[in-house]
Amino acid sequence: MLAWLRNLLVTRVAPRLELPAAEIIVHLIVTLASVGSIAIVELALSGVGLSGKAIPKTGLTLGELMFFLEVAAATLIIAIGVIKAAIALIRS
Amino acid sequence: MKQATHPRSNHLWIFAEIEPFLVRTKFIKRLRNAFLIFWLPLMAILLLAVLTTAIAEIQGVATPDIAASAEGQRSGGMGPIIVVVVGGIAGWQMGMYLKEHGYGLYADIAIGVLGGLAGGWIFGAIGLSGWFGELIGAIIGSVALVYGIRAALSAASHQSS
Repeated sequence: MLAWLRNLLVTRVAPRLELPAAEIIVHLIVTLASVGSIAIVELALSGVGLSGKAIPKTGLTLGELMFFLEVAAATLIIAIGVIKAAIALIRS
Repeated sequence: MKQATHPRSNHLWIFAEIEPFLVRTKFIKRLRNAFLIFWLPLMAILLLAVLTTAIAEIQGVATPDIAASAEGQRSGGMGPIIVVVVGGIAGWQMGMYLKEHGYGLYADIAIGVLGGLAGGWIFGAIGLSGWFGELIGAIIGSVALVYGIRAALSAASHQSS
């Protein structure tokens, strides 16, 4: 029974899940890199003292913009990763 | 007598599977494309904002430290700029997936921006205000509008052929 299940997983399920898994992993890596990069820039800017300054002609400070970009990037990239994984799963 | 060992009987077999997995799924190419599509524009936006602020600061243009007063704004909406940026990126991304029957990159971004603004406004109107509601609304609105226009164009071209 266990061998049959393992055989099913290895021969039928795993090949179908490879591409979706790759999409999810890729988008997670890019999300982490994006959020990490923004966090490093934020740290550097708060060290220089620019974090609280307003961006000209907007109602946002640099700190707020970076906060919004972090949230937007994480939401968007992961959402697109899930959509791509679903499309890959349907097509496989 | 030497006993033959199955590759999967070793607990480290997973490491042997990583390289074939990377090759089969073209992982590095996907990762590079994702970095070019997401990370690079994000850093460009950030760099532009930082440079603009730094130049204004050096030139002595009034850029008050509004961190304290901005605390009050944070609970409210996040403003049209972020909605436009998020809508544009989402429209661009959605357009890349639905390659056929489109008007091209700039049209996808423009449609995404419109969808983002509409989605943000609709989410605000139904009570999901605040930055998170607007953000989700912008993403859903732009993706839905780009997808809807592509689907309509696709249906029209199938009908005519």
